[in-house]
Amino acid sequence: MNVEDELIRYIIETTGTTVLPDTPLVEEGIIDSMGVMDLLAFIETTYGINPDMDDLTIENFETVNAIKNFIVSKRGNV
Amino acid sequence: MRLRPFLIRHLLEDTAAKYPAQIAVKHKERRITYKQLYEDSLKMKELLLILGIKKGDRVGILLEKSIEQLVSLFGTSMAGAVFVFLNPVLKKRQIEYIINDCQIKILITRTKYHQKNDLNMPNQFIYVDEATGESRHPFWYRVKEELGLNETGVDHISDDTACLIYTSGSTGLPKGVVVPHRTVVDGAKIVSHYLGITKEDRLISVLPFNFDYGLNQATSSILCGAMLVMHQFFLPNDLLKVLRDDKITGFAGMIPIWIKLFNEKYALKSDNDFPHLRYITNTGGKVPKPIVNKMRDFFPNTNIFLMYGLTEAFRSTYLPHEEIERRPDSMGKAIPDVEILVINSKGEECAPGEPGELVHRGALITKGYWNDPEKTNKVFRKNPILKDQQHLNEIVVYSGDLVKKDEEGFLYFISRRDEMIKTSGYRVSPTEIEEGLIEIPNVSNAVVFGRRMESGDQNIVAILETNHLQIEKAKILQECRKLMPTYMVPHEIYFEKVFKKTANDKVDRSFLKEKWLAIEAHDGA
Repeated sequence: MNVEDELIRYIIETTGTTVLPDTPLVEEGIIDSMGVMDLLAFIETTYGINPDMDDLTIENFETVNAIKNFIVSKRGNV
Repeated sequence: MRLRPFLIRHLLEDTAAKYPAQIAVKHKERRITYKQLYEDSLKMKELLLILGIKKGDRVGILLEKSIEQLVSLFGTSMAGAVFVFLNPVLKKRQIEYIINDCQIKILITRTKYHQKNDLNMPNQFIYVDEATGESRHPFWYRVKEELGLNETGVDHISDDTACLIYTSGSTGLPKGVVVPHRTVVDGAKIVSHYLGITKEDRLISVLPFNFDYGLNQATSSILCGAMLVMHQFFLPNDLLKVLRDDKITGFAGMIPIWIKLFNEKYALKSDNDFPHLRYITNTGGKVPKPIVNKMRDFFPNTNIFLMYGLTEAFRSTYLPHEEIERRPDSMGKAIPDVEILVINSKGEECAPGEPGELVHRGALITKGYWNDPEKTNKVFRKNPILKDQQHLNEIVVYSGDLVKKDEEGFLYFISRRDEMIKTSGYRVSPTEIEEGLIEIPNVSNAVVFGRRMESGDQNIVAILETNHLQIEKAKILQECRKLMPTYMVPHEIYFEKVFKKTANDKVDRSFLKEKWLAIEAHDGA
């Protein structure tokens, strides 16, 4: 499964809401300030990346696409 | 002699007259001056009156952090109506419960919240989005230009009800605390006095307006002509950026926000220089010492005020910043115009060091709970120490919190008397979560309680009765997330085939609680 599908599956499983790659996750309230910490933990363990404080901005979590791009860019830096 | 302000609308009217061009509210890139906020509020009042709102009617405001929240607040108040803030994190079930409980007549919201929650009530909505769709409900931005600027307000007095604030009790569903104008206006005066707020301040508003302190922060800001910067808290870095970019001078937070801000794993050691930040405040729960220390490390040049209040009496105590080094454990002393009594089970004042219930006397006392005389009589009681003048009718608020006073009169929190769970900054009633859990297929019964964690927060622990059926934890969590806001979703879930009963055939709650609290918390349920 690719990153996009894995993220979509994770969001459906944890929130019970079906999303598309460009669904506005934060604006629609699908992911809130509590859910994002769980999501972060999931991303860290699944993709082995280590975000720092500077990565923790809303832009990186607005949509599945944004999260995917964030993961790809972090992996590229390793 | 100055009589005003004594109504909520006076706060805005007076400041708009004094500083019309000053920025009142900022949200992302949008700003609105005091004059604009005043005029928009007048127009919102007109719209509500056209839609048939009468003095004392309830108007719901279901919006995220936005300028429109304040336009709705003041518009409702100018119309003589009662505003009720609903947090958009709530789901259909909780929203419709509140709408029904206090018979909200008009709901000011966005089309997306109406649709997402498939709301069947109330009959009338006002949409504040700039949507293009058609609807029988008015769109604020389309009708706004046609509304007049009529400055006559609806006659009312400071004892009239200004708003209802829904709060959870240890038993039953949320209750609406009935807050008069007097409480909101005096609260703004008292708190802005001891925090020293002036028109030069820029205050970040992170706490929701359905919390007494979130509302108090906004009204204090308007009273003083300061700038209120609305911010929906999501991730720490966004918040720190607003603190820096908008040169924020005052920041009110709660434990869950501090925990995230000082997260060891992500926190950057450098670049936490906030030269403009004059003060930070905490409310909504006792801050554990390690977090107080981190607050001081992270904001070394900022004054820290620890505050305590309960919705029923709005704001009660604060610890002046000069005292935090000497007594970081204390919740301070009563705020101006308030007296805090510590009362033992005999109804007498406690000696220093003796634990007793915190009782609030004086300013800021609200009127009671909407629709609930029984609970009102339990919490809003006669002052126990009237001595030989027992016929006098002085009402005080019993907090349900156990505290003690030291020799110098500083107060220390011990515990809550009842079962309420404090989690993620919310006060959550076990009953409300249990009622949600029982709706899930195959769950025959549920018992919920809190587990105190090292962080100072509480875990929600749910024990489910399965009646020998197979239930998957993941499935339960998924259902919970559909049925309730995230802050109500249990952190720990355990199963029992059949619940132990008491002699009266009631579920033995204390047995279950003791049994499962003896087992260590499992992460991630």
